[in-house]
Amino acid sequence: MKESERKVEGGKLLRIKVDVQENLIKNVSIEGDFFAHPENTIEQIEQELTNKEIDSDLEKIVQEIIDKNNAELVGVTAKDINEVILEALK
Amino acid sequence: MKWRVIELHENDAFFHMAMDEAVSEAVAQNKSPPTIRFWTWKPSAVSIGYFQSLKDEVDDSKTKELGVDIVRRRTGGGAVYHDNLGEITYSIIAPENMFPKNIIESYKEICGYLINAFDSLGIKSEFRPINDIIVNGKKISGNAQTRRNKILLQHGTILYTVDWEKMFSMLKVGKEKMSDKVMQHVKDLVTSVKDVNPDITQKQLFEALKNSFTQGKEFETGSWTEEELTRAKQLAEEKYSTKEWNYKK
Repeated sequence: MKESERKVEGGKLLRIKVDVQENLIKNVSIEGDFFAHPENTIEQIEQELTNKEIDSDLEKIVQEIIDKNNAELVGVTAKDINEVILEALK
Repeated sequence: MKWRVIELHENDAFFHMAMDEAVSEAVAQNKSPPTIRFWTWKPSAVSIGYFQSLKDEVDDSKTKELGVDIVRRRTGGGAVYHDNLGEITYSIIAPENMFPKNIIESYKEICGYLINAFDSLGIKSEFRPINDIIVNGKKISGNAQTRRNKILLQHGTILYTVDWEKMFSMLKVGKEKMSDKVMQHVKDLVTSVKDVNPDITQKQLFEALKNSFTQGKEFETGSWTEEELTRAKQLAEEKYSTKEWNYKK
């Protein structure tokens, strides 16, 4: 499991643990002390990212789930999630 | 709309998390009025935010040794040590349309009740977005909110006194145990009511909180319903006290 973390808006921590096999995301856990309403949006993002190629547009995938759920993320953005995944995979 | 106020009561971490959810459900179904309750944790407990990894945040062998519970909250935010005697926690549960739609604005409004309570005790405090209240630049209260089924739940803790050694023995910073340097750093970042004014009693703090939370509201002092209690016991047993929930990350 590779991981990376960063401080995001409001000093919140975003930590992502990710497993990749043959260029596919196999397991991803998005963790930290940020807020997301509704909370299960994050679980949906984790599920949706699973089996995606690492060079696909992950930010777009994340943003679409946020929009679909009419979710509000406080202290973390789709861009942050995308960038921290990529950092973890470096 | 008439509010229900449930005065200071103690219970364990699993029950409290379950009661917040049970009351939220009852308010959503129009079976219960909007509710404010004040409570303490018995036994002491560590709560972690919904998205946190338990193992990254808490030394669970140390909590076990000290008889301290660990519970995952249904709200985001960080890990907090809730000492049985060291704090007062509140929950406010109401239809979300009674508060600003904007999340930060709603934090600001509810945290305003805390600031007024501190004010009445002669303590000058301020709101630090996203979800903290600070005194002299140090955190004295952390707050966490969720909204589900058009119901807003915000719970938060007010530090009355801090047992630094105990707190540092259980919480991890990042993935490391706290070093002396980190401990000093946290002491510079966190304060408590007793720290600011040792003469204030916990009862005075509770009264100040109750007065400020209810100011301008029509309210009745009451308790939970039988239905809420039954549901809370079920949620405590089937969700909040389980490994599946608490160790899911």
